[in-house]
Amino acid sequence: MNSNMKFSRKTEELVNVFQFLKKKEIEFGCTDRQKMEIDLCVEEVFMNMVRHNSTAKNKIQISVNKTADNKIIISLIDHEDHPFDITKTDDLDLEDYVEKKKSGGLGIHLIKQMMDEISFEHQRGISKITMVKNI
Amino acid sequence: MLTIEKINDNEWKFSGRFDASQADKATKELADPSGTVTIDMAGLDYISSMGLSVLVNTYKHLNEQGFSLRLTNLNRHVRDIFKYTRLEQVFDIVDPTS
Repeated sequence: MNSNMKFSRKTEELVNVFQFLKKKEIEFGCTDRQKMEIDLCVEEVFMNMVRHNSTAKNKIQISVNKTADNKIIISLIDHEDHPFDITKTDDLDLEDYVEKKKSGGLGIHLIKQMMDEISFEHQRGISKITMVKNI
Repeated sequence: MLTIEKINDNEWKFSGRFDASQADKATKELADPSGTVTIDMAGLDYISSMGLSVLVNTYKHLNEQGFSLRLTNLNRHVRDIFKYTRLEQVFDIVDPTS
């Protein structure tokens, strides 16, 4: 089964992203909990790419693979002139966040909670965010 | 796909998946409540940060008017999202595990 797909840069494309992920999650034998966490982290990164690079025309590529030692490797690849490295964002001050009842920045916080590894690469205008989930 | 069922002026049932593509629909539905709002989330399987943002904004709007936002019957996975973000300290969450 194909482990890579490209998706249009729009919120409405999420339904197709989730369909693609569902097939891979079933193939890899993920639990309901793992499925939810993978869907959520991919949505957060995908929507960050949609929002931070909204004028670009190219599609966003997502790949999902499983290693022999039961790691799910998820990569999202985008063309970005102004790269946004989510691994460099400050940890959310949840006390302050809750106190002020803000509503932004939660996505990256959730990714850091749910994934075992996150990395970011940027070369020649192409950004790649890779997340690893041990299952 | 998020399904929203309006029970009365201040009570709704949410079921399905509350992702970024459903945020506008939920925002419109919750735009004009006239008292403390209760949302039954028994059928909700998934909520992302955009869904949480809609709920936080609804909470802020209600709080300014002296009302609150009550969330009921969250499943374990959805409940944990609120726990990870500490939003369980903001909302009035009523479910079998609380």
